[in-house]
Amino acid sequence: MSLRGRLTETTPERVSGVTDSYIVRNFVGALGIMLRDRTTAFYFAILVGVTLLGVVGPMLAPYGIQETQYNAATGQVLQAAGPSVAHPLGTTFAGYDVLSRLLVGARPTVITGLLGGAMILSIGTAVGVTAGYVGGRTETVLMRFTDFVYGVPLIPFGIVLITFLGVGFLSSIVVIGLILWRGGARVIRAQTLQVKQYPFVRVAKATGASTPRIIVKHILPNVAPMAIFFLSLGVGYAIVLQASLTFLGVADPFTPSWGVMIRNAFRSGYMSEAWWWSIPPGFLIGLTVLSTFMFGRGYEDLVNEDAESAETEAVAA
Amino acid sequence: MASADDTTDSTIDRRSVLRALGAASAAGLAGCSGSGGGGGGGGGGDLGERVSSLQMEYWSDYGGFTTTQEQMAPIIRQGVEQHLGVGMEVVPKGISSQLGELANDQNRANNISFTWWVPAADRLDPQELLNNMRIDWAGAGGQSNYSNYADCEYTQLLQDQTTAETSEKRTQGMYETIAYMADDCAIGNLCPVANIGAWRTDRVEMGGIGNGGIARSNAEWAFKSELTEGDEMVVAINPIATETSNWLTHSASMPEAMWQHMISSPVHKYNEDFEIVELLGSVDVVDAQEVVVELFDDAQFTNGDPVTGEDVKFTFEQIKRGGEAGAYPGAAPVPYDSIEADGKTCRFTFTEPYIPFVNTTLMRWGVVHKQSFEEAGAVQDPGGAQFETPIVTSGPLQVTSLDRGQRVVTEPVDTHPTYSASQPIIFEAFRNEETIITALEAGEVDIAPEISPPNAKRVNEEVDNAKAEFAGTHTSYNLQYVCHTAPCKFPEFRKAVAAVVNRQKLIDVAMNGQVEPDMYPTYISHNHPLYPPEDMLYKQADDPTGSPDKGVSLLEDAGWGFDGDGNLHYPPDADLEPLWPQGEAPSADDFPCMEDLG
Amino acid sequence: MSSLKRYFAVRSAQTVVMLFLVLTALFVLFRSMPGDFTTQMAAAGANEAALARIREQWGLNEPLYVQYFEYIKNLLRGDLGQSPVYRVDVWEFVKLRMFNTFILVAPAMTFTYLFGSVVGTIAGSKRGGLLERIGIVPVITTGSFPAFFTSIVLIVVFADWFNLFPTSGMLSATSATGLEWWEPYLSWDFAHHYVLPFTAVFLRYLFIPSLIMRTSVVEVMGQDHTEYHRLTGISPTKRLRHVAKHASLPVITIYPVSLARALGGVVLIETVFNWPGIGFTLVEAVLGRDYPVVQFVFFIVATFVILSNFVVDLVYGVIDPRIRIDD
Repeated sequence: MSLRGRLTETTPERVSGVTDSYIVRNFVGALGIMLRDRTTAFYFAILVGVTLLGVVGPMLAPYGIQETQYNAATGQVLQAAGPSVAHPLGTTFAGYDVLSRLLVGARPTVITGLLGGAMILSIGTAVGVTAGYVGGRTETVLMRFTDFVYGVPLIPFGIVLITFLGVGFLSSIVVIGLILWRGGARVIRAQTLQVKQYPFVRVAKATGASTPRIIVKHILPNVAPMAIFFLSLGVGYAIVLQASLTFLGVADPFTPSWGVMIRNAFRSGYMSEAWWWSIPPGFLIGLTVLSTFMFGRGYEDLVNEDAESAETEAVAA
Repeated sequence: MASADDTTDSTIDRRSVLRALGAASAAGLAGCSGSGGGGGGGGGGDLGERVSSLQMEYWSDYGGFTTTQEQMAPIIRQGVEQHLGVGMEVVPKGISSQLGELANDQNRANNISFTWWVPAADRLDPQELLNNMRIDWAGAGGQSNYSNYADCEYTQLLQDQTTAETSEKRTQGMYETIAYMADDCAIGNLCPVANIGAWRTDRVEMGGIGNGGIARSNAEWAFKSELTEGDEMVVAINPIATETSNWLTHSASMPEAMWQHMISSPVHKYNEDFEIVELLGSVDVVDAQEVVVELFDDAQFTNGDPVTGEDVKFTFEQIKRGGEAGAYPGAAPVPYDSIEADGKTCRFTFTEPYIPFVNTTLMRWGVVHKQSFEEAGAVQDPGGAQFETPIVTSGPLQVTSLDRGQRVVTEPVDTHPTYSASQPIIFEAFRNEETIITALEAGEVDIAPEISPPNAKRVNEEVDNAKAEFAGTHTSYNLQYVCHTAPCKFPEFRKAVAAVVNRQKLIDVAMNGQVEPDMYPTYISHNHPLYPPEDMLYKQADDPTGSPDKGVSLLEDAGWGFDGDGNLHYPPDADLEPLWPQGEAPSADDFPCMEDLG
Repeated sequence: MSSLKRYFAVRSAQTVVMLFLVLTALFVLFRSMPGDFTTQMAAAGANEAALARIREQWGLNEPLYVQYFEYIKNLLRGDLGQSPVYRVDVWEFVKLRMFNTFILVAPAMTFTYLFGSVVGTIAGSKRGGLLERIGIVPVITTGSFPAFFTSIVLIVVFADWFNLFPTSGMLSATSATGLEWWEPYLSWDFAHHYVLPFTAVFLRYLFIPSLIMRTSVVEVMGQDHTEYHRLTGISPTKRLRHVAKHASLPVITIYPVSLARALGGVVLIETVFNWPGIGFTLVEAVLGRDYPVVQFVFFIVATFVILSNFVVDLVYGVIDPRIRIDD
């Protein structure tokens, strides 16, 4: 009863306050507890750093991302030129400044993570809570549908969905959300089934509260701590998967996320020769995703009673 | 509407007075109506509706070509945005999606398709490409006029040259057809597609590159190159050619060329310098309706059977059968009257003059072994037949083993009258270019045909003992304007776009500066054997770096104008309606020739 | 046991209906993709008139429901159809590729799950210890990089720089041909090509069993009977084995599912290593709208996953009567 004991003693009287504040309070509360752990705080700092880079990166970029760079002396295009003072991370094959693209690329990468994670979280929660609380036929249909989504091979199915939405930056994120919610749905459903048995939910039900009201006031605040875990894992998965879709050529190559940079280096055959072009984005993706996973695990340390089911479903997503 | 807010004029300095006037009225218009549209009914010197941002689609799933297009697209966009005052959005699109929408006229958001055409061997006759501009293929209806270019006169010229009486007349007719299209700037040309290939200089003595380049569409290098080390020549290809032993069902040009021109052999074809070589026999164009093939005495199949007139007759009958059965996607309809075989000769007669036969159908298809086709059941089921290895073929290479998705193993035979290979060739399937080059570097691959410019640069600069060579081919990177909707339905706009593109920069960045720009809008490239004399043609730009002034004046002369922010506006009286409603074909009311064609 | 039988019956019926719905959903989904397989042929230089005949021959002009009934009819006869792109029977086309993927994924995944279980057990047994806190980091790190990136780094380092392994492929181009289909898989050449892709799969997926096992071990160690074992004073190694046995259930549960999903999921590794498996073919088939191939492979994978879940549910149903259906 570690985290739940501390955070979720949600009695009917307390619920009469503003609902959102409970969700927020549970989020913030959990965060506070997690950050007491130094390792977790370290990875959290990295995530904050990457997010900040997403905000200010484009402003720091010394050159335009599609600005062809020329050798000042010879007037030739600087194709895949190594690091220099003017271009600390060299240039790409098309003669673009790598550092600028890396800085500008932070934003689409962060957006991918946040948007993808948010979609995974919201669809997963909606399906999981509905299935878990409403039960019966609704639950059967929803969970069998979840099974179906579980049954599709991830990347090929993502490509199928993209043919409907069109190749593009946003669509490559949306398809991730449309598939990866499956792990969240199962975990949140299991959680909901537990919360449903709590006395205060039974009381609320007995006093005639409506289903939406109970879900909003009682269920959601109590599954909210799980949300941190899912959001962080979802962010990591979304970034990796979007990079993978990009790599296979089904994302917008003109939105220079870090995944796009690796893809371009690979497509141009310069992965090993122009390491300054391929390694930095790869490293940043790895670091970001690692941080989301480690941060997510910080949560697990707090609620190990639920973490088994959560991690089983989540990492296998 | 003329009650312009004069303060806006302070921002206008570099534009002409005319543009300033236009800007003033545009600003006034925006101020009172807020719509920014309309524009009609104003006084003299008015601007029409603002030209909204263009959409340019390109094929996002075509390997190295996609990479090249992605490097070119920003340069095209910059040219249009800087010089013409129109925004442009570059949109990646899967090839199946794009062409599917096009065939059914479903996508009206697109304004320009940025395309390229595989330098397939049979495109050395422009017929097939020019067919893509026929009016009866425009609009919905399943067939694809890639530009939705609807012009009766063009289509008439195209049809006339097809049925010309003599080769000279046909060539002249072809020139006129292309010149007409160029005058209309129906399609923009950027630069030739390059066939680029790399090889291990320490292991291979390379020959037969010429203008055809190291690509399977130019089969010559397979016979004119020699291993200097090792026993088997490993050639890296994409997996398509390894997927079936029924090679006539291939639709992709390079795999098809490999099977038709390396493993099989046509009667005659163009060599690497685009000169005709006779491979299995001589071809006599008796007149426009009769062609006689006389096979060489020593022409044999790989099993030693002689190639007879009967085999040639069977080949083209089989292609017709396969085309009608929906099995051979490459089978074009030919107006055969009869095909007669007699010993070593085969006589083709046509119901109407059909000069293109000699340089298209006859060159494209390798002669097949009648007996093995009959035994494989290819007559009853052209699509379903599979052939046992070793496969009996008419070329200098015999397929001894075929591992689906992995490789085609061939042995040289000395049964071919003209060519022979010096060593076994293994066509090894690879799934991406990076892997090919890494394997080339490691000595696992000897020749890597059909690679993209960045990888060629990598080979030349980073890989020891390997060299890459460019060959500008007969096809081009094109801007296919969508000619049935505004703004590209206006020829002056198409010409303006064609004028402002900086072709030289595009070539420097994406093609390692290795090809010459295409300065005339001819669809085919300037390297094509049937390229018309340049004095017949409209010139897109005066300079390879682009002619922005020419582009702007083309538009202004036609009544277009710019507002204070430099945005392009249509002429006030411009009719912006599409040439036909979405999902329909050009109507016979607007295009009288549709009466006969449609 | 009647409730168990009932549970079995209901879940079986659900599974059959489910499989049928999946088949139908996939059919509708794939046929609704814009364009069809002739569009790519058109761009590649196919003749328009010939393509019109191909569309007609394959019934693409028919209404969707007619095509659907045709498809189901053929399926019931055991006819999977032909790839319209390559004109090869679907089973003929996919069987060796599926095997190639299987031969890579099955041993690699099995090893990964075994190894991951050991890592997880060790990490979980010393909760709060340095090993648990730091030891798991490298495992998660390798899993944090996109699979293609890891694969490329492996190639550059071990094939390019150190020249220890071939850069790509499953067999050398010059390897002996004309053997029985299974013989090459036993060759030294194959093993030589096998190492790097195997490693890539291992590095990519190791974190999954490790994390699950670790969590599970932590949980089991907190349970009463483990405490009892500790008090009775049996050796730590023996106790750990006991814990691992009890904790391995979640890992075993997701193992078959990961195996099935990896069929489509190792596409990145296959692409980079030029491994002639099904993943790359599947992506190409989607892009080229090769409906029969796409449909068959998706259905196989979905069936495997759904059946695995079904079996797992049944097993749990036997173990834990509480989760049996009660309606």
